[in-house]
Amino acid sequence: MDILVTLDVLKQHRDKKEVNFPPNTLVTKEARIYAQKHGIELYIGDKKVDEPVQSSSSPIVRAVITVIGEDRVGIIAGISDVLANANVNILDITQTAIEGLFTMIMVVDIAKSTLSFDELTKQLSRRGEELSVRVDAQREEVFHFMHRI
Amino acid sequence: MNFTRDEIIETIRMVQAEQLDIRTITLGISLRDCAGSSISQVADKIYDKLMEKGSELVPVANQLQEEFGIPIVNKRISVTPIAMVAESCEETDYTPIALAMDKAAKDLGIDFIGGFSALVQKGFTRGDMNLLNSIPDALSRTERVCSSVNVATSKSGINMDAVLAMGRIIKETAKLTAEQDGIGAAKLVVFANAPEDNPFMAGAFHGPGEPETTVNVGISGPGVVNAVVSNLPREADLGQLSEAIKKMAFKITRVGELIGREASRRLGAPFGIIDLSLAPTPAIGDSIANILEAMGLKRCGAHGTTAALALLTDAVKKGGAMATSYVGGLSGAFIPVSEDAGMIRAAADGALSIEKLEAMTCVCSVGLDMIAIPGDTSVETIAAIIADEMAIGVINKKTTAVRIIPAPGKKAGDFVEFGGLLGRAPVMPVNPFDSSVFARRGGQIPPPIQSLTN
Repeated sequence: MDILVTLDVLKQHRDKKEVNFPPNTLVTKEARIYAQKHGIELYIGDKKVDEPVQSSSSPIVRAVITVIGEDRVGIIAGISDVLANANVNILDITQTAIEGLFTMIMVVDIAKSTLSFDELTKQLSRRGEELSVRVDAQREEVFHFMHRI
Repeated sequence: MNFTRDEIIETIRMVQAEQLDIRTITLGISLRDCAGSSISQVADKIYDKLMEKGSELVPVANQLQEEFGIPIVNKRISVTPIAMVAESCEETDYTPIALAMDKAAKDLGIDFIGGFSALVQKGFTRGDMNLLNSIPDALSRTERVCSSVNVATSKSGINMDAVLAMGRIIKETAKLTAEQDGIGAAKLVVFANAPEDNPFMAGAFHGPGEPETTVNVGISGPGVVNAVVSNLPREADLGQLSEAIKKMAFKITRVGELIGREASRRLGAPFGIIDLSLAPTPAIGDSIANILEAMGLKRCGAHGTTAALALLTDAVKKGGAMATSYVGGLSGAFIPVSEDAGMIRAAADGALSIEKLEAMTCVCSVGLDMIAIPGDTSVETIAAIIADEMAIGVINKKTTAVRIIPAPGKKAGDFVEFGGLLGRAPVMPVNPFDSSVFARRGGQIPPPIQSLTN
């Protein structure tokens, strides 16, 4: 009898769609997250186990793109072009000069992007090289975690 | 926009100019189910289990680094102390297990694997003895395996037989790797009160109370803290200094928390802890010593250094503790001499001595770390250095450690070169007076009265 169901207990049931445990079994949070991720339905007695409340890990929706370098014609156009081709929507855009360098910050919606984040970053930095500017893209959570409690 | 321009610029600056990074994602893996009666059988089981559980670590870490734009410097694995896993083997030489761990580390592409370890604070089992005897060979024949031995705790006192044995093992390990300035000893730590969930090498192992697998994260960021301290006006008082460091420690730790949660989710292993340690690298600007100097000391090691380090460590803990749900590991500030450009300079200038470093270990997170001493230092003197450090840990109920390299053929003032994160170090003189009668007495130093807390 399983009194406590941990992640490793559940991994033995990884091929099943539905797993039943006897009443009063305890299922750890990690095990519930695993079940949710692999589409396994858990039952304790005849009661279905609730899906775990996620503390982070919302699906990727937004990213912050920063462009730093010499100011010149066509930077915004060049970067926007890459984004438009990838079906990435620009939500906000701001530009300024910091210590003499052109700095542009874009917040974009990548939920409907046709490219993986990895590929998008690669294309952006390739375009950045053509324009002689540095382009970085980061998921928005970094800023959220760092600057908001 | 959800964030101000300045906030975004600050984050970018921290990563690009001030070397903010995640020092390590360390995946803890229990090997308790790998026991067997022959060493080759156990080594095979261990290799297979590491390859299975660790296969995703490097790809996931690379993904996270790309998506979040925060460099993840090291990917590591820690395992159950091998003395426990191999105890049931008939053979007495455990080197084949170290070789299997090293092979798995290379095949997985991870930087270090820790856990060639034993816990002997109160005495030795057969497995413990075999492991200790295998350390010099194991460390000289592998590249990525790290070893640690816990010889003392506040609850049990100090096993002085083990301390003397470690003196001999350190010296032997250095001798076997003499052509690389004794680098083997740089992968070997002697502990008091070793934590079970430490993500940092060389002391990481997966403690017996840990789950099957767990993700522990070590943050870094001395460069960021240094920038904050340097940007404060000279008139800022120490309360303001502490406040500024606290705020920055919060931000650094939040990044670790984010990466840790995501890594845990993607690896399918529970999130263990964030280790709040500021870990330096030999890169210019990524130095703990420079922070202390920015507070107003001409060189790290000057009088006032211990107070400055105490303030720094405390502020990092206070800021970090709020930023993460689970704090663990060593959590404080590391002062490894060879891995910190500022420490190297201070030691070379004669500002920093082993005695001052020992005092600093009372308030930092670990202990005498990455210190090169003359190759002809006696086993008993090394044991006595360890005993001093263990006493500090045991009495103050903190983790202390000794990672010391008796550099073969080198004398005080020479330099040793390890390369990479391990850096380079000036050979520091040790006290020339003899301690061998004390070190050879052996036995157990009893636990202190402070340990009677029940």
